[in-house]
Amino acid sequence: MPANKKYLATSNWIKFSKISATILGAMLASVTLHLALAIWVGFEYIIPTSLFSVFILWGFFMIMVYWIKSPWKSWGIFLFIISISVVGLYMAKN
Amino acid sequence: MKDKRNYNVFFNTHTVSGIVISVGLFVCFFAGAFALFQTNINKWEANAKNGVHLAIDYEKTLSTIKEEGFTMNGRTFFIQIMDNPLPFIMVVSRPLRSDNNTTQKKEQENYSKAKVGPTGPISVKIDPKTYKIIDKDGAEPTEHLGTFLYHLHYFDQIPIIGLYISGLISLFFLFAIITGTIVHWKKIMSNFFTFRLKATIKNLWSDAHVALGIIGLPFQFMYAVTGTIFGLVIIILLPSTMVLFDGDQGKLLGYIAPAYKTFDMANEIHLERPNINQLVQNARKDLQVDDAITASINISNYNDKNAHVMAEFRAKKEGVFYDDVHITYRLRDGKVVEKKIIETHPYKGSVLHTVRKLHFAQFGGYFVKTIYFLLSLITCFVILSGVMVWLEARNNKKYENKKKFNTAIGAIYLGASMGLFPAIAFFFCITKIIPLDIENRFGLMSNAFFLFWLAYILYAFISKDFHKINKHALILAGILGIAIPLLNGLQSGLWFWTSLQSNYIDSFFIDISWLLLGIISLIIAFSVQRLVSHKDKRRATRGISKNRNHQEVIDTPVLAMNKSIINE
Repeated sequence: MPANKKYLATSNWIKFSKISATILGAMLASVTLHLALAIWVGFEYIIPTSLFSVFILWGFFMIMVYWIKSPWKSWGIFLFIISISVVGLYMAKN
Repeated sequence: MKDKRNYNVFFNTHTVSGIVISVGLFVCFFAGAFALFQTNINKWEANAKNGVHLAIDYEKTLSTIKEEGFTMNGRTFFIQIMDNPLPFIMVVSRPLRSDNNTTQKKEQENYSKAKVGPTGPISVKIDPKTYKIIDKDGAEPTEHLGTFLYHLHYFDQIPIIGLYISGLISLFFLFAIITGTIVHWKKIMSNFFTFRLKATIKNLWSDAHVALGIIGLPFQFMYAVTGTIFGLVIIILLPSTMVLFDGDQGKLLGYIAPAYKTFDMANEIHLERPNINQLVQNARKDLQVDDAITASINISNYNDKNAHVMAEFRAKKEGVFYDDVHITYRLRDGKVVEKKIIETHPYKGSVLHTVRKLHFAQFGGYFVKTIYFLLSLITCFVILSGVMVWLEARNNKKYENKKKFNTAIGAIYLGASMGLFPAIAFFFCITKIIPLDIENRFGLMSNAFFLFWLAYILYAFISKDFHKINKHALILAGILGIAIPLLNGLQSGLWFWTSLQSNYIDSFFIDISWLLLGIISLIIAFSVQRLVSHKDKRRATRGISKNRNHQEVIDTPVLAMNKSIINE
C-alpha cells in the first residue's frame, strides 16, 4: 500500500525545492496576488475575501507543486505571479 | 502512466503530511471539541449560576478607569460585559501613541514593557456591582478550566509560536484533505459503501478512514480554512497594512470589521458630549434590540473633537445567521454616522462574522454545538485511523528492519492522542479536589494535567500494545468521568438532580455529559475484543484448533466510541 517509490522524487535537491515551493513560494504568490487584486479591482470585496481565499489559494498552489513534475516549473510559475503582482503594485502606488 | 504517477505522488504527500501533523491535529480537534463549551465549563468549575441579569453603566466604568490614573484623552476604549464564569466588565485599550518627543517615546517604551503607566495599555476587569477594579493584569478570563482547554486547542501554552504552529497544522490539514480526496476520487462512490470487516486489519482501518473522512469532509474543510485564518491571519494583515494602507491598521479594520474602524483625531479637546448610557439606550431603541442583550461599545478618540462611540449588539434572533447589529454615533453631537440593522448584511463585515460563527459554532444553539462535538470526535477518529493504516501498511516483512521504530512511533502517537481523554477528565476531577486557597492553584493543576498526560504517553511507549493503550485510556477516562459529577456534588453541594431546579444549568449540563461519557467509555472499554486479522486467525485455527477463545472482532475501541456516541 505505501506509495510506489518509482514515481517519487529521489534527489534531496528536488525534495527541498518542492517543500520550499509549497511553503514559501505558494504563500508569497498567494499573498502578493491578493494585494495586487485589491489594488486593481478595489478594496471593497477583495480585502474581506482575502481572509479566506489567501489560504485556499495557498492550499491549491501546494497541490500544484506536486502535480507538476519539475519543481523548477512550479517555482517559475510562482516567481511569474509574484513579479507580475509586485510590478503591478509598484505601478499603482506611484 | 501519468495517472499512476499522480496517484502515487498524492498518496505519498497525503501520508507524509498526515503523519507529521497527526498528533497536533488530534489535540486541536479533541481539546477544541471540549472548548466549544468553554463558558459552560468555566461556570461549572466556579459553581456559578446562570441567567444573572446583566447591566452596565458605561459612564461609571469610564470614571473608574480615570480614577485609576490612566490618561484618558485620545484613547480608544472597548467595553463589554462578560459572564464567564462570573459577571465582569472588560475594558481594553491600546497604549497611546506618543508624540515625536523622544524622551516621551522612551518613557512609553518602558511603560509598555512594565505594562503600567498612564499611557500604557489597559486591560482590566471591573466588578459590575461596585465598579471597583478586580483584576488589573488582564481582561481575559484566564485560569479557568474551559479557557485552559480553549488555549490548549491552539497550543497557547507554547509561548509566542504556539498559535502559528496551530495555523501551520491547519494549513497542512487543508493540504491533507485535498490530497486525500484526490487519491480516493476515482473510487469515491464504491469506497464509501465498502466496509470490509473480515479482510485484513489494514482494510478495516482504511475503509473506516475513507468513509468517515468523506462524511466529515465539509466540516473538516471548514475547520481547516477557518483554523488557518485564526492561526496565520498575520500573513494577511501585515502585508495588507504595510502595502495598501501605509501602516494604518485601523483603516484595514474598516474593511474586515467595519464596526471597529478608526477615525482620525482632530487633535482638539472637546469635553462636552451626550451621556453614553443614553446613547446606548437610543441605539437599542433604534435597532429594536431586546433589553436583556447588553451592548459592547467601542469609543474612539476619547475627549477628542472627532470622538465616536459604536454600540454593537448580538441580537440572538432565531433563524438569523447575521444577527449582529451596530450603530456608530459621533460623540460631540450624537449624530448617527453608520448603522447596520439586522435585515442587511453588507459583504464587508460578513466574512469575518461568518468565519467566527462557523468556527465557534455560534449558531443554532446547543444542537449545533453537539453536532460539532460529534463531528470533531469523528475527525479525531479519522486522524487516528490514518495513523493505524500507516502502521498496518508497514507491518510486513518488507519493513522488518524499521518495525521497532514504527511501533514506537505508533505507540507514542496513540498514547498522546488517547491519553488526552483521561487527562482532561483528570483535570476536571482535580479542579474539584484541590482546596481553593492554595497558592498558585491553577499552575499546580495544569502541571498535574500535563504530567498525567506525559505519564500516559510513557506508559504507552513502554507497553507498545495498541489494544491495551486504547482500552486503558477508555477505562481511566470512564472512571474519572463518572467521578466528576460525584466530586462536584461533594465539593459544591450541587448534585445534578437538584442543580437544574435551582438554575445552575451549566453545572447540571457538564455533570450529566461527563456521566454519560464515562458510562459510554466503560461500556466500550469492556465490550471490545482485541483486533485480530482474519488471515492470522485462519492460520491460527488451522494450526491449533483449540484456540477458539477470541471471538470475531467486530470493532475497535475508538470506532465503537464514536459510534455509540452517535447512536445516543
